[in-house]
This record gives sequence, structure tokens and C-alpha cells, in this order.
Amino acid sequence: MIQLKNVCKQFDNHLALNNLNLHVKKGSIYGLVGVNGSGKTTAIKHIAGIFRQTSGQVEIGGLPVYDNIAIKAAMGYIPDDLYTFPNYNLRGLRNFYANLYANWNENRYQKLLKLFRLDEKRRVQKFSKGMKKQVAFILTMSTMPEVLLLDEPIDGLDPIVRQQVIKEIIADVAERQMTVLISSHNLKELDGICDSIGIIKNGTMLVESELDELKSNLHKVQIAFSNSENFEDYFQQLKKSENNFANIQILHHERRGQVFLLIIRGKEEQIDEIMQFSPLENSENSKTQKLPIILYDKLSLTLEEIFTYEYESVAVQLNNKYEENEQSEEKNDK
Amino acid sequence: MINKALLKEQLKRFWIFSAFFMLMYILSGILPLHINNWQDAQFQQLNQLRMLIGIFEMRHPLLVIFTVFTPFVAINALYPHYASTRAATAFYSFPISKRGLFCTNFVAALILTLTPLLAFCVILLLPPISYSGPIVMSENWTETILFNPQIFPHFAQGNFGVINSVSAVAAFFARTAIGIIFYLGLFLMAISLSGNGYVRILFCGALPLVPLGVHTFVNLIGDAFVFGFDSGTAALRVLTVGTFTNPVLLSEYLNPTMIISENIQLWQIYLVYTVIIVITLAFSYIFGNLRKIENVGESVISSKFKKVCVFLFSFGGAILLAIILGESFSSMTMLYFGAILGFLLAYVVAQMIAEQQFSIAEKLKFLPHYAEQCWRLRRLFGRL
Repeated sequence: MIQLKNVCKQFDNHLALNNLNLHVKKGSIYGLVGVNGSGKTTAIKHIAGIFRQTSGQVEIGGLPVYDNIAIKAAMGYIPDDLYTFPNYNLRGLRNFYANLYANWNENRYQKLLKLFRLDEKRRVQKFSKGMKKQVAFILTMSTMPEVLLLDEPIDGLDPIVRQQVIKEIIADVAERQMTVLISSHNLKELDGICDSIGIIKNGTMLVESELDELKSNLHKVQIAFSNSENFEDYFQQLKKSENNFANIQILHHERRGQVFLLIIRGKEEQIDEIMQFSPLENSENSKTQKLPIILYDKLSLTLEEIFTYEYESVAVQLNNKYEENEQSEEKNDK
Repeated sequence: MINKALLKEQLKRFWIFSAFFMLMYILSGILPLHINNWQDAQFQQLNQLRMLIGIFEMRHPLLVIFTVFTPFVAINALYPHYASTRAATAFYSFPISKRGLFCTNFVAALILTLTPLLAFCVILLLPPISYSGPIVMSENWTETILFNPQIFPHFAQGNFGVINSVSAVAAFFARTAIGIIFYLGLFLMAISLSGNGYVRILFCGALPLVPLGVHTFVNLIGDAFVFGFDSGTAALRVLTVGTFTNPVLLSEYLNPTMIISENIQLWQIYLVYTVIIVITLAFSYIFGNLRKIENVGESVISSKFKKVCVFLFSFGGAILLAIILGESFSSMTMLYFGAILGFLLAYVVAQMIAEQQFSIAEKLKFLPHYAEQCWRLRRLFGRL
């Protein structure tokens, strides 16, 4: 439904989007996550038809978005920083939206108005930040959009309203096959509602996958040994054994007392296999004793953890590349 | 091209401006006609006549000010998305094309600025409110527009009638309206080039004076540096079109008395204004389409244009101070000193405005490059 193909966006000397590829299926809820300045809002503004890309394609339903009135008429966009006409109340805004959008649904508007209990006659400027977001949500949802773009919409909402908003979004997705793209830092909440996730970094898509598939590909493994002094040796051997197991990658390892934590990307069955591998049996140091595993446990990861470890792994890769380059330069100098 | 929902909403939002302008027209134009304490009825009529003639001859100072002020307010109110990032995000996410936004808001500006003028003109036609009576001829009034058949063909000398005739009021409306539309186009072009609220006000103030400034600048440079230059030659008179854009002279050039005394045909005035209006609107449309929304909030809409503005400002500052010091001290040394000092000061100020900050240490490294371009331009004048 929503497709970004090799989209680049240059702002003067800054490359905000760098060959970004993004795909959102019709009737799904897509969570776009990334650190501050990664390009989430820029990507969303391209999809909303506000920015024009430097190169690449931005399409909804196979049609380019920029300056396309038909697509914008079926789209709802709630930005992070809201703008409403000065001195307008909700009633005035309602009248404007009802005239502007052909699909305006008055029943939906009244229903949402009762749900959020906002005063229609009060000036929107007098509302709190959260209430302004509620106003934006009421107006946008009442236009019955086919595509809904939300840029950090849940921030500023109280927990009760937050649940109501999520409920309405899910109901629309189920009933009308509305396509939703949400950008947020609140990964706990996205975890509960999104079908697919895209992790963006420096304007490029780091990971894009169905949420279930993402979770099934990343595992948190806890191991405990009876004698844990030589874990580092064990870990180095384990790293070497990665080459023998395709698509296995150890993203993170740390020691927590007697327990060692590994974050491994790969298929579950392959991970079980690798953990049964006892590299120290084949160690060159024959004096080293085998380290019997006394605890082996696989745990599920939250979206927040997936995000953190995926980001870290790229940072590590980049750091390793940097160190390799430095070392090769030093060798050349010598 | 015109979005009805947006047009309706903009008129609803800003009808208060129209009402305010209407009130100002009444207070400055109609009310004085009735604040008349002459006991003698004939003197009262004479006074009303005098005031009405002043209105029709575009010599009423407040009405001339409104001709500039109302377009300025309308354009700045109706195009917030040219200066505010939040407004731009909202407006461009609506199901309205860029062209639709431009045209709809311009039509709204026309309606908001011309409606009070139209209402004022209707009131001028109403005898109980304005004037209805015989025109008393006097020697001093023989040259006035009202008796000139070139402007009002149905008025022959000595043919008296109602002064606020439909044709007289219609002509007044036409001349004022063209002045208002002229400034709408000019201010629209100014805000199309600028990116934030402060610079747009600066451009709105400066743009009407640019042609006059160019005209004056060419004359100053020519007289000072170019051998054989004569600012009164026929070829350079074409540059006097710049005076049409001078708000101070606007009333003169729309003043029928001036038209008669300069032997200019009214249709020629209308033609010049119409051509300028079409050009400014065309440029505004082009700049409006070319401008990138991500540059909203910057001083000007593109970095290239920013460099051009900084260069022109620096060059203008150099020339101005060179002429001032050179002429004051009658010394070539002071002239060059003035040029250097003027360039430095103007460059710093221009960069501060362009970068919207006082700290421009990073931009000083480009100073030699701009100085070199100014020097090349100065050599070009030397060849002339």
C-alpha cells in the first residue's frame, strides 16, 4: 500500500534519507522506530506529500503522493507539532474539515467527541498538549482515512485516552482495512499493536520485518557454568564457530554474575545446535577444563530490547570497521 | 484551482479585517463629510465638495495609506504557510494542490481587500450620506479632473451635475482597486521569496522600492563615474517605471490631475500597472511552486538566493558609503575607504539577517569571495 523505493532526501549539506526502502501492507499497522534524528519524521512527511524527495519513489497504492489531491483526500496525518487555525474552537475546525473532506463522517465525529469528552465551544489554543492531540485525532479519524500517518501521536496522552485511541485505530483496521503507520519512541505500546516494524537509522532502513518474525529471529540466551572463569575463551571459540553456522550472529554478550547473557540472531533450532557445541573440547589449550553448562535458557525479547540490540550491533560493526581501517592505515604507515 | 472549502474558511476567518478596513474608510472618508460646523449651507456644501474632490483625486492621505496597508495585512494573514513550519505542514497535508493553495488564498485576498472599497464606493453614491448638490465653479477648480472631458467625457465645461456620479465613483474604484491589486502582487512576490515572518516584512517594505532604488542607483553611479552619462536622456526614462512602484508616488501617478498635466492617457497608466501586476503574480506563482517546504523558517527560500541577497546588500552598502564619504570629503581616498567600510558593514549585517543570528564568525571566511565579486562588478561599471 505504502511504498518507498530508494528514497533520498538532501537538505543542503545533510543527507536525511539515504536510499530508504519501506513497505507497508494494506490493512496493517506498521511501527517506524529509530533514535532521534534518524529520519522518521522526514520519511513520514514524504509519505504525507509534504516533502518532495530528491530521488526515488514515494507511492501509495502505486501512485506518487506528492501534490496528489486524491491520495491526500483519503489520508489522515497527525504530526508531532500540531497547527490549528488561531482562535478556532473544535466546532469551527469540524466545519472546515467537513467541507474539505468528502468522506467526512458526522456520526463518527459525534461518537469520538463523546468518548473524549472535549468542549466543542472552547478555543483549541486553550487546550493542553494532550487535548490538542485528541482534537487532531477526532478530526482526522472522522475523515475516514484509508491511510493514517501518526507521528508520535501517543506522547502526551494519558493512559486512559491512550487506550481509547489504540482501540479506535485497531477497530478501523479490522473493519475498514485502514493502513496505519505509527512513529513512536514508546516501544512497549507499539509492541502490543503493530504487525510489522521498521527500524530506521541515519536515514536508512536497518531492519524491516513482521514483528513476529523479528522476535522469532532474535533470541536472548542465558547460560551458567559451574566454573565461569574461562568464559571469554569459550566465547571466542563460540564466535569462531559462527562461520560453521549460516545466518547466526551474536549481537551482544555480557556477564551478569555467574550467568552469561547472549543475544543471538538466527533460527531457534540452529541456536540450540550451536549451544550444544562445546568448543573447549577442541581447544588447543589441553589443560583447560571443559565448562559444563549448568543453566541454558532461551527468553523472548521485547521490542525495546530488539531495537536496542539491533542498533548496538550496527554500532559495533561500524566501530569494528573503523578500527580495521585505523589498523590498516597504521600498517601502511609502518 | 480554487478550493471552495478553503476560500469559505479564509473569508470566515478574516472577515473582521474587511470590517475593520470598511470602518477605516468610513471614518476617514465619510465621517469628515458630516463633521461640518458651517452655519452657512453654501459653505457646508463647498466643504463637502472639496473633500469629495480630494477623495476622487486620490489626494486623501489615509486612503492612499490603506491602498498599501490592506494588501499587506491580507497577504501576510492568508499565507502563513510561507513563514511557519507548522502551518506549512498542516496546509500541505490538506487535499489541496500547491496551485490551489496559491490561487484560493489570492482570491480570498482580492475579496477581503476590494469588498470594503466597494462598500465605501456604494456609500459615496448615496446622496444623504455623501453629497448631492450643485457644483459651484471657481477659477481654482478649472483644472480639476471632475471637469476634464478626457477623464469624464460626460462632463463638459460648465455642465454641472451631481459630483458623486456613478462614473466618477466607478473611476475612483477602478484606480484604487488597481493600486490595491498591484500591491497584492508585489507583497505576494515578497513573501514568496522570504522564509520567515521578519524577512517577509523586510521584503514587503523593500520590494516596492527596488525599481526606484535601481533607477536612483544607476543615475548616481552614472553621474559620478561614467563620462558623458546623462540621467535625463530618453533611453533612461524607461527606468522611471520604477516610480510606479514607489508608494509615495503611487497617489501621484493615479492622480488624474497629474495625468492631465503630464499629458498621459489613463489607459496607459492602467496598462503599465496591469503588466506589472501580471509579472509579479507570475513570479509569485513560480517562486511559490519552486520553494521547498523544508526551507520554511529560513530567512529566504533558497541558499542560492540567500547568497545573491547578501551580495547585493554588500555591494549596495559599499557604493552608498563610497558616494557619501567621497562626496563629503571630495577625495578619492575617502571614496575607496567608504567603499571598503560600507562593504564590510553591509556584509556583516546581511549575513546576520540571512543566518538569523548575531554570531556569523563562520561566514567571515566567505568575505574575500564576495569582495572579489564586488570588485569585478565595479570594473564592469568602469568599462561603461
